[in-house]
Amino acid sequence: MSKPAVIIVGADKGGVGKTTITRTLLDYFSARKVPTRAFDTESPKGTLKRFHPDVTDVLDVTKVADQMQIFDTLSDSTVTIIDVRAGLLSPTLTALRDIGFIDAAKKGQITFSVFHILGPSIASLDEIADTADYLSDAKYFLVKNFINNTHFFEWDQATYNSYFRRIKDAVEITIPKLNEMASEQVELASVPFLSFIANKGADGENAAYSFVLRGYVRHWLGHVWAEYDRIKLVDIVSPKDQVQIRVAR
Amino acid sequence: MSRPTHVYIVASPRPRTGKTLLARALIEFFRTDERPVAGFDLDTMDPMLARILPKFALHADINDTRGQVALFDELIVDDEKPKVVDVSAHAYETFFDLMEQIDFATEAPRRSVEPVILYAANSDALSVKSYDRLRNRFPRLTLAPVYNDGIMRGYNLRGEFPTTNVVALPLRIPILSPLLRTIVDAGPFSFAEFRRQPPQGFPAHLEAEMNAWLKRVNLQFREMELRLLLSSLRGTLLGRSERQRDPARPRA
Repeated sequence: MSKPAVIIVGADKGGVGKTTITRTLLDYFSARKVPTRAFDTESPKGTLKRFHPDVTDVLDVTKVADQMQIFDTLSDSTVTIIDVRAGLLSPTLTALRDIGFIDAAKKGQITFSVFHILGPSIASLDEIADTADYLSDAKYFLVKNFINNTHFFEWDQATYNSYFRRIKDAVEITIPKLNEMASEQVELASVPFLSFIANKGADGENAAYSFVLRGYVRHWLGHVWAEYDRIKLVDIVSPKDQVQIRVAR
Repeated sequence: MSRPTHVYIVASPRPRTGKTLLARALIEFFRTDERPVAGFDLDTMDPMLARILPKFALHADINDTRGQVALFDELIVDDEKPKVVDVSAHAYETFFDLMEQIDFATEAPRRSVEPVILYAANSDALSVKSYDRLRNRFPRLTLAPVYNDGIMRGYNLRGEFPTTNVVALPLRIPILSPLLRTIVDAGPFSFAEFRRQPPQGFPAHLEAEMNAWLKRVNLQFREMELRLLLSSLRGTLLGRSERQRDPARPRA
């Protein structure tokens, strides 16, 4: 039986690379021909929309009208990714609980996944504890994003493990650091990672990006996608029986 | 049919293996033919190639991203102008790690740019091991060992530096006598200018030695270029005939 898939990407603070992770997810699904739509909750001006304008809407997830826009239109043939504003992961999960979304996930009516982007401070671990109550039936991914030479982490392994174990079946994902100049150039180009690698501009026209920087992005994205392959992300959001049904249709 | 652009990467993980002399001789070989050529000297401590050939070789520092972009974005340009990169021992690991990371070996041929590694061989165990590692890392690249008689000193190392195909035949750089070597290294001394007109007062016996040396070295460079061009032509013809048999087959 097919069911809608929702991925929430959140973090307790800004600057940990949350939107970067969302962009890699959108490229990952695009490359695998999995239909996707995204919601950028950095209303009114979202960063994500700048890179993926065709599949992204900007809205305020705390507003009922915008909640309806997302959850009343869930589809079993399209993955929905919600890039949650920094610091709003717990409030967003509370809102989802209040509208019955968490219950629907518990009943198996929706495939629900959370990518929790960890910052290097120990406060990030506290947010794991805060979100644990909502995630008993969600796929929970703790994402260590090595940006800005982040020295992960301020805590020792034992402390980390104690928080990690609070969430059933939590899975760790490691995102390596992308070369700074390459990251900067992709930002300036305002195109998806895949377009930058392919040397294409926003409208698909030929661009003149640096060969070296494209190589860095290609190499980095390969490592990121290898992590998504490892956790079998496509199977989570789009089980094979669903794919076969879509193909049959 | 346009020629591919060859990028000659002169490298060895060990210092003082004749790399700069080889790179210099190769640049001057193209100059003798009055063909444009671009050289790159990666030695940040003693950039001898850039110093001796300032009009034809730039100093490049690949220790930061900016320098890497400046070098490789130039190397990937298909302008039929041969490029010669003198990879110092200090830059060896950084260079080939970067080359692997940005997938230069795969992307370059797609743009009609052909990297050719000229490996300055010697008897050192690290040199032997690094050569083997390069072969495994870049199996599709032309990797030719270069034996400098002044370095090899009677060693026969062909077993340690096997060639992978008929294109990558070893090169042999003959010894230069100490006096001639001093003159050549003192600068400003150009092999190409010497071929056109030896400096006035140049001793006759050294002139004969220099001419003989240049003749042997340039002949090997010319034969290497011919092998590369034939290999490229063969590849193009094979690809074309396969497309004629199967028009739906995509171009590489």
